Amino acid sequence: MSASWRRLRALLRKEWLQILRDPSSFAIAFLLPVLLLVIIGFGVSLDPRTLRVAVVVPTPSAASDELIAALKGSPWFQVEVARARQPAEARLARGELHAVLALDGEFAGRLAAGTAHIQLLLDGVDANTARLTEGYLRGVVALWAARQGWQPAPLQIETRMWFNTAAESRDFLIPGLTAVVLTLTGALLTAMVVARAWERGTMEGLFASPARRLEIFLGAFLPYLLMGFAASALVAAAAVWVFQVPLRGSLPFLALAALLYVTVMAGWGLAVSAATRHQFLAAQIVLYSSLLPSFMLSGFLFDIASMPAWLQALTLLVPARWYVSLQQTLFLAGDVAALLLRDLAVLALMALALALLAYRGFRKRLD
Amino acid sequence: MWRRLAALVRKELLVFLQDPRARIVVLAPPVIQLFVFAYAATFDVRHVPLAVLDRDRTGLSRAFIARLEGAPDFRLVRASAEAELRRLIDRQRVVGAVVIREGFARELLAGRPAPVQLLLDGRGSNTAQAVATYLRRIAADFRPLETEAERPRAPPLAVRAWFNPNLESVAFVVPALVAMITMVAVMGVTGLAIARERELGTMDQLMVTPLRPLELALGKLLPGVLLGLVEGALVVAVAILWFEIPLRGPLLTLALALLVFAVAVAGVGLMISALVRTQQQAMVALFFFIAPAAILSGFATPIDNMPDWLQQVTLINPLRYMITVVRGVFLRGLGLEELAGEIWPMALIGLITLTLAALVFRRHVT
Repeated sequence: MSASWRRLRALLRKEWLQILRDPSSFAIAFLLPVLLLVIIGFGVSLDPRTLRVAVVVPTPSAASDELIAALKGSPWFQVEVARARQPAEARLARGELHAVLALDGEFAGRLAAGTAHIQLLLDGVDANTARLTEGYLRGVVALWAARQGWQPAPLQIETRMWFNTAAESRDFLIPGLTAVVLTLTGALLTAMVVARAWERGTMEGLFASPARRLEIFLGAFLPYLLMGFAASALVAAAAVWVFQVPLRGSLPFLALAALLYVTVMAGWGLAVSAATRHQFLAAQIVLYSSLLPSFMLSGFLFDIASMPAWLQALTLLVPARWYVSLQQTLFLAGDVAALLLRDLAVLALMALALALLAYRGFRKRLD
Repeated sequence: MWRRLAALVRKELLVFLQDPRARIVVLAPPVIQLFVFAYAATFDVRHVPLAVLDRDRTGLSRAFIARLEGAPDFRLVRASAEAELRRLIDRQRVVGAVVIREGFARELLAGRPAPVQLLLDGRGSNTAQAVATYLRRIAADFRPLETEAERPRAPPLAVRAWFNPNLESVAFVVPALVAMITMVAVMGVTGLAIARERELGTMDQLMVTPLRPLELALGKLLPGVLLGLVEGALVVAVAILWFEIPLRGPLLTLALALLVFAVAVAGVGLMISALVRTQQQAMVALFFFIAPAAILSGFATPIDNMPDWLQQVTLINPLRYMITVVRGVFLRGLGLEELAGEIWPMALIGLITLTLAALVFRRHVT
């Protein structure tokens, strides 16, 4: 059985027109990737810009003035100085401040006696921001203590952040964002358009035509593969040129990773649409089986290492997990052979399995 | 009017609870969302693998490692050479590495700061920063030797986190899910309400009943609001009973805000429903609203971190206000007085969406 290029071309053209004709598939194919790129790219950031901190100094001294100056000199903080604790605490309680740094009234005297301490109150509602605030404040306080000529802390920790010196969350979020975008063009779009063909019976019409099973399958598969691939190129270009994320790995690996992941997603979309033959149901299933995991269980935003063990085990089945790992490594660390081979091998297996599963759905018979 | 309206609401609810597809839309998402989000959406550092290389090999260096071992934040992986550290980090077996340099004990004994190097994997810079903060905390408390004070000691920081002493993300995420799940439920029901009738051709039947346009619109609006409130209430219950998040503020404030919020998003749902022709299109349109609304709400990452222009955009997002309210009531124990500033913008948004929905409804439906 040989595939005819002419027939395949005709099928590809048909599929393409179908995507363009329907406003909802057009929107998913072309508008949604750009919309998500903009709102996730700019909107999702774990890096605080300005942390509002109040310093409570009941009796100012040279040391406390220098603490305030050190805080004001840091780009992280917007500092206000208060004499009394109560109003600052009330503002912390309402969420108007991120932290209150409180010295007590006899700070200077206690310092000489070695019993002084500084109280740091954090707004714990946003635990992550609170932790970062504590980290930054500890840094500033240590700097200030060193400048005062006080006995230094026993340990001196030098921190080096590999692959991402400035610790910008954007640098690891944007590469991972590709997984979310490709899930949409790969799985959701495929599921919707192809499930519609099943639902309306146009797939049966194709089966009655001289087109072979492989041609019909490829006709429904290749357009989404190409569009997903184009979307991945768009996100990669935006990552490098708009968001200024460094790209340290090589392009062929990047392309291979995208190709495999899009195959997995399109394969899943086709398999679900063939199994349900119902566009609404197919879209719902894809939304919850692919899109939600690609966001929540992929390591794109939330670190898998901190999830409960049962959930970590579940993420092994999530294709996006392997793809996000590839993306983050390729962009920030470069071609780390051992890691790339592992992730690519897992994705290749998944791609093969899902392409076969999807192909099985295209049987030229009706039940 | 009330009798007719009640009949329509009853019919809508019955249709929703009987249609298996509709049931999937209304019942599956909250359960999946609640449990996946609550357990997966964490920025906490718990038992993360951290490599240790001890090049000093003295009693003091071992004492420091014992401190790290005792911390619940880390799971230590021993390494014996620098090259091994590189490999462990590259392959993401560990999130970072602590290197205790040679001379650690000697410097400590001499009263000079002892060098400790912390290498972190910037591919997860957020986790890395949390690890750095915890390590600094442990280091600050590590004073193995009593040194005589010829100079005053740097004052230690006594840290207390209010409302969430152990800094757990679950307290941040689960209350916000009350708002999120209510929104998805309200929009799922109202967004599909008219589209379904159109698709099935039953809209024409409704038109020929004595129902007035206003009654029809309300009949399509109320079931969504009702289901949304029921789901919201269930999430509140699960948050308190299962996730053990304390509800510190008045429940009544939360209920009032949730009602205003539900009506505001129901307006958006109804508008979408009146504009589209099929349920499929309705779903895509809902997605176009829900995805940006969720991302630009402060649900996962703070609005404060966004660029200014995007922060302005979030002002029209009702979810943003509701999430502040629900976190305020649950964690901060705030009441109506403090949260009024979040509730009236939702009321305003509701007024606008309902007006628009009424206009669209008149034009496209009746």
